[in-house]
Amino acid sequence: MEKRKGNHPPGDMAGYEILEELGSGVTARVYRVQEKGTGRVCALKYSDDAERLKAEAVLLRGLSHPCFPRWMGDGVLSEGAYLVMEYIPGMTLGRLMDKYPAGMPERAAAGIAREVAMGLACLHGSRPMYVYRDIKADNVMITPQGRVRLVDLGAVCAAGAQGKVRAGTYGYSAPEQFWNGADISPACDVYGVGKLLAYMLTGQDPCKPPYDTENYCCRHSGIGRRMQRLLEHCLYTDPQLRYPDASFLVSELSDPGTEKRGLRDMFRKFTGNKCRYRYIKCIWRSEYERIF
Amino acid sequence: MSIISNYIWENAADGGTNPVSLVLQQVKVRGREIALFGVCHSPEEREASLTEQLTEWFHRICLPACESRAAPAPWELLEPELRRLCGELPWREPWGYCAAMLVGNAFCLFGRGDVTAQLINYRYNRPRMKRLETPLYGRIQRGAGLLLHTPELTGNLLREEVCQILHGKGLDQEEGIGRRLREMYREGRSRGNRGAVGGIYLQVL
Repeated sequence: MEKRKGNHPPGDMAGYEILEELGSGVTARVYRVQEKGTGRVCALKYSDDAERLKAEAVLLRGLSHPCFPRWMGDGVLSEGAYLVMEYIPGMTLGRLMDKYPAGMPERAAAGIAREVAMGLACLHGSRPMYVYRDIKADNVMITPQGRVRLVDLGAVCAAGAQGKVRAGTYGYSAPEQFWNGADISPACDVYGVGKLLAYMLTGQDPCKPPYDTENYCCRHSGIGRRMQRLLEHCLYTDPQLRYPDASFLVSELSDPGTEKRGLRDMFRKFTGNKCRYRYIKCIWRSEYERIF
Repeated sequence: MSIISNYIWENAADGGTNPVSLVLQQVKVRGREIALFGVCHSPEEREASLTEQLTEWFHRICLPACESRAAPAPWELLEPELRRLCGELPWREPWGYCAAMLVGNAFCLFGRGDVTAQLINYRYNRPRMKRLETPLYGRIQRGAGLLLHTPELTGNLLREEVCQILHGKGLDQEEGIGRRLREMYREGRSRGNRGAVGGIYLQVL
């Protein structure tokens, strides 16, 4: 079964020369382009769904947070629309995680999650309040300078919307995102950050089976007590029990190095890994995506 | 006793979506290794999710069950689950699956359709390959190897050639197994195999 994708735009368009394709999603493709007049390199998103891309352009134009790419232009073509934004070099968090199959150090993971939460806090604090809805490792870019950036605002919607168009990634997105008539609130993004954090700590990709982050984290004794508690507060199925928005996460994740270690953590440190399960290999390969 | 495994998963020469899905799960619970291997070959998305559902089942149900003192035999676990999953899926040709589960040295094998399982063992210092009929329950010996694969992996190769590739040094390491599988794949391609390929080889040490 072929995936649905945006049509190919012509080789050159709207004064931009296409250099390479950076990625593609369900309705859009992203290219690295060069502006013909100035030689400036940018990222261009092209989609058949002009209305949705226009909404994304309006949102991006109004955002001024270092976590998000800068808006540089947008327009409509006969067969679709395009959005030009800042090109962010580096690698996705998903690719970075290939180097950490058993999870990255807690401090590094907390640092990345905190920067993501800071970007989200900007969205959650704006008027009207927005929800990102599609937190996943492939939407988080790590720049060569070590900064964390969030890309692809295609799924962003206003909080309180009763998700007319379902968006998100199975495994990362909060359960209420797939319920009919459920309110979309910033707690959806809190859940996504929890999943992302669990992925960074355990190396277990939430969008691949067994989709079992919660149990995996409980069994993973490498995660400190404070971090486990934080994950628990992010990953409640009931959105009312989660942190209400990302600003709470920012303060919780601030400087984890100074956290006071509990006796249990100290015990773990000196007795080594007491995990009942030792995961030797967890591989699942398929080209089909889970449909929900 | 330990298991070393690796896999090959390659698209067809003319591109398109790879109809093969694979699962390799190896977990040590209370010092005992529990492993699940599966290959599913289906052009339909719903059937391809068989490996996905098996993986979920392995982590959510099978591992906690194996953790208890009264550890069940692998066939007591895998067989009902596969029957349940396959009962939910209407049979469509061409597709097939083969799943093997090992708990310690006890193993069981279930399969159907065009995905086959071959047992490679050594007699008088010579490798022998035997196609396994399923369902099969038993114990696997040290030094034996199990190859689960779609027909395109060994399609135009003779049994002796497959044995020769999966024989010798380096099979006690993942990289070595991966190299041998790629060699087999390249050999098949050079002889006209154009289809998508999926295969798992596991060596019991």
